[in-house]
Amino acid sequence: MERLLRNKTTILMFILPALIIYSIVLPLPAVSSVYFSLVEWNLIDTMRFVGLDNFSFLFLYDDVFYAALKNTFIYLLLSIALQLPMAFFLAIILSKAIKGRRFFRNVIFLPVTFSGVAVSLMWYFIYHSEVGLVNRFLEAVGLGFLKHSWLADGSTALYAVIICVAWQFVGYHMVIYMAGISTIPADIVEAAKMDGAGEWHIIKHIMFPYLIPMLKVSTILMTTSSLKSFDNIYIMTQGGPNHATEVLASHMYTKAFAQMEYGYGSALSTALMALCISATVLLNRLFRRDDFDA
Amino acid sequence: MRRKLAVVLVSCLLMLLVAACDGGNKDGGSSSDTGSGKNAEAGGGSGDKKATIKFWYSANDADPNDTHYKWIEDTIEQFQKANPNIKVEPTVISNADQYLNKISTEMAANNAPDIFQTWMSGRLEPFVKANRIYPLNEAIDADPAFKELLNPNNLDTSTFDGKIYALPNAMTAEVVFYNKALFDKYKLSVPETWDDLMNVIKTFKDNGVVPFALGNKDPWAGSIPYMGIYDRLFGPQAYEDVVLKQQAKWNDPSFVEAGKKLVELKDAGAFPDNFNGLSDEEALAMFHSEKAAMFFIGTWIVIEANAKLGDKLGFFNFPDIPGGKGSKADDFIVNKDEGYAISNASKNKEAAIDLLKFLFSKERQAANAEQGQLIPTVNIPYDKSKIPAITIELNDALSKVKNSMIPWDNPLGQNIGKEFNMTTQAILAGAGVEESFKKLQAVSEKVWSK
Repeated sequence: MERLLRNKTTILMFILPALIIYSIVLPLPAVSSVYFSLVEWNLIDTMRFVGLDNFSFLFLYDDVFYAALKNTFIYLLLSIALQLPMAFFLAIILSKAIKGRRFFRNVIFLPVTFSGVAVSLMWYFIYHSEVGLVNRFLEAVGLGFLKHSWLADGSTALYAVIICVAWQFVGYHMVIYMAGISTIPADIVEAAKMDGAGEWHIIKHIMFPYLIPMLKVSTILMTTSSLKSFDNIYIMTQGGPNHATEVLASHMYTKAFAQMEYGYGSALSTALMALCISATVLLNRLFRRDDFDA
Repeated sequence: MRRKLAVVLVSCLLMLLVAACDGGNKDGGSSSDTGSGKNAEAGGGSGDKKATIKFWYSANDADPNDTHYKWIEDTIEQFQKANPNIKVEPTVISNADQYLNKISTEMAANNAPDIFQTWMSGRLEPFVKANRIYPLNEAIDADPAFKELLNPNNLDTSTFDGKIYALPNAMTAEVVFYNKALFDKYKLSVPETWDDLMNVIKTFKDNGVVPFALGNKDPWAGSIPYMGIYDRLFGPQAYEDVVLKQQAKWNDPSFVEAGKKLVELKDAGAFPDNFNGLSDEEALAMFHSEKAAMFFIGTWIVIEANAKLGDKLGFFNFPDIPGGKGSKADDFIVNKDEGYAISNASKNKEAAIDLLKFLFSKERQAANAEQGQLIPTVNIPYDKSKIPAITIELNDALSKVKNSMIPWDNPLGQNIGKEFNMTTQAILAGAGVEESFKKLQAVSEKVWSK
């Protein structure tokens, strides 16, 4: 048996089915979308090879692409800036033996299990300018002058979406950090307390270093999910008003499937793919160097 | 031994793959074969064979009072009763934009339903060119009783190379609807000129009434006032060149000038405060609840608006602009809408044709007319007394149209049409007018440079 498993052909035989399915599902479409980015095609007419025309249009004329790029980065940075510290402190508080911590833990984690579409629809109504919870609340407490059409105003729409996403996923990262906190040996914390370390010192010098691997994981998860974010945007604003919340994925969707510009949509998806790959490589580099330092 | 096993396994896998691909091909081939086979049979009366047909359309199924949805539901129900052998599987999508995306994508994947609602002109043409739509001439010619109901003048936007590919179920015109009660309350009369219009806007604005409802979140909504302004300023010439003949000349100064006029309208406070984030449905609700006095929109709202506003509902054509070439007396934005077409890939064309004929039967068209729809069919014995007054007025106005302009996004097709709509959306949201049309020009050059 052992000899059988050492044989290269046998190994190949075992991985072949999975490899074939995997390559049909993942790398092949990716490669073909690079090919489609070089054509002008509405999915129905005959395909017309246009070389790099799609890309030159993308970089020279498509200001929506630049708006989407900017929004994607704002979305990415703010998601991390909001969710990471919030999840971190929630995890610390709920790891303590406080009353009702199970209840709060479940409540905070619950939105993660909801469908993104349902959450987005709910927040769409929360932000609604006429019947929305936010405006009704502001009016009720006498702050009626702050009433605003949150999703309809280009200056607030993107932030409104980011808050909705943070609300949904903060529980997810909290659970990751709580798992990390539970691995911290109790005697270290005990010893620190004996030496007179305060709450803040314990967090800063014991919990934070222990949680660094978890923080890295959740940063990578947040980065990749932000880069390809689509559902929340599509449901709440459809990229509007006037592209104020347009992200790369929603721009790609509109081009490829609403305008049937499949070639151009593929060019956008190629750009998005390049961005995702470079972000992942960059983050990996960054974090690996940290490991050496530590 | 081991090597043999490997060879056998690999060849099994390969065979599976080949079989899968081959199966797909065969399926595609045979479906078109049976298609042409059925065509020959189609003349031989309705079949007794059992058939299931998929039927897709767009209607507001969320609103139980939506009479159009009810009309289609009733039609299907009655059709099922009369044809127990045919099972209709309807799919309804309430948002027209999403419906357009869905039907186009499915059409591209060659998964179109047997019979479906479609738009006309530029949005139908690519499907026709790709041979995805079944021409209806044979079915029409084979049945004189059916043929005499169709008005040939109303089939122009769905006829390509002499063949008819879809039948319209509605005439639509884009005019300004207004609330007569609100106009009376502030002692206003229907605006004849641009200055009148500005005065009306100011009066409403000063009294806290929204002058025009507008849901600019749906990009096409803002294109309607743009087209109105464009025609009154420059008449139909540039529309013919750029929109119908698809010559990329968006850099013509006329387009920018009309855009600036639209901005003038916006700056005068014609639209609700947050109109960029309002959907078309929300704008309609605003008009229904009398928060807005006017609504520049298509006649597809008539049935519902008449139910909500009754005698208060009136309409006028967008006013003249002094010095402009267009005229509100002659030029209307008119379209043939809500076409029904049959897929070439359908295996049950006969049954689909039966349903199509049923949709366009005397009884169903009469019911359609009586609920207030402007019907494109003729020789329909409907009860005139049941028809809302506004529909009769609209019918009269449309019979006097001299120059009709199809809403641009239709003949421009799905890509440039949407790009044009987004251009007007951007202008209304504050983007530079010149830059916006420069961009539209660049896109059009890229796509039309064939």
